Amino acid sequence: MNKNDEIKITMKSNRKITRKELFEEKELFHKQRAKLPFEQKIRMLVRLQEIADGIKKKRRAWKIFYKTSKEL
Amino acid sequence: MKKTLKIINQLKKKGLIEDYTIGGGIATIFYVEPFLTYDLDIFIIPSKKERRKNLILLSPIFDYLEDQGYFWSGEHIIIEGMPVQFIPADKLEEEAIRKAKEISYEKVKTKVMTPEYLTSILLRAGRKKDMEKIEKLFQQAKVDMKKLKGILRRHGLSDKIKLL
Repeated sequence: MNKNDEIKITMKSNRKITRKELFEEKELFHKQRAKLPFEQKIRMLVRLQEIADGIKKKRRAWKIFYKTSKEL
Repeated sequence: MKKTLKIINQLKKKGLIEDYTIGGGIATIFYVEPFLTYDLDIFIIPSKKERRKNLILLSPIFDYLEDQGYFWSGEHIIIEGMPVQFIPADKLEEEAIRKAKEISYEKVKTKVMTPEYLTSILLRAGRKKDMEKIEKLFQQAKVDMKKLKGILRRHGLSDKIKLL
């Protein structure tokens, strides 16, 4: 195990976790998002496309939804 | 996407295609967390009457879609706001279509490739972006290694397993 993995990090509300736990939580977060309903994932994808459009100043986002900001 | 899938289902009802499945990035997103992608890859088995020796006629599909008012943008046809690419299936992809998972998207029936077929097709392509999708599938979805190895063996791709 890497020594750095045991370094404690103070999170919100003074919760203390190790670096190792931080990365475990991160992995869990991705796995939970992978389990979301397909319809919700597509709404999130459209929001991602809209964000990318804003950065690239190019219109490529699918024109299929109008209210998506709550999904991200 | 619901309307897009309805139109694609009409192609099957009208006999313009025998069957289809969603593949590529959107199929990957079915199993993993969303990532940025823009096109909807639809792998199709053309209807028998549109298949000749060494020639697949997609023009009846495109004529039908153009008649419905859909238009081309580069290599995609825009159906209800989504760029769709129709890909005539080879042997591996045809098997992937026949074994695809039946799902319902906002009550519209459709099919997505299983993670094992997706992985096989991505492994065969083997580009950086394909390998990134495979990594996501292995981290966030369940890929049955026995099934995957069987697919790769049947299609002469066993050596690709080394890339994993």
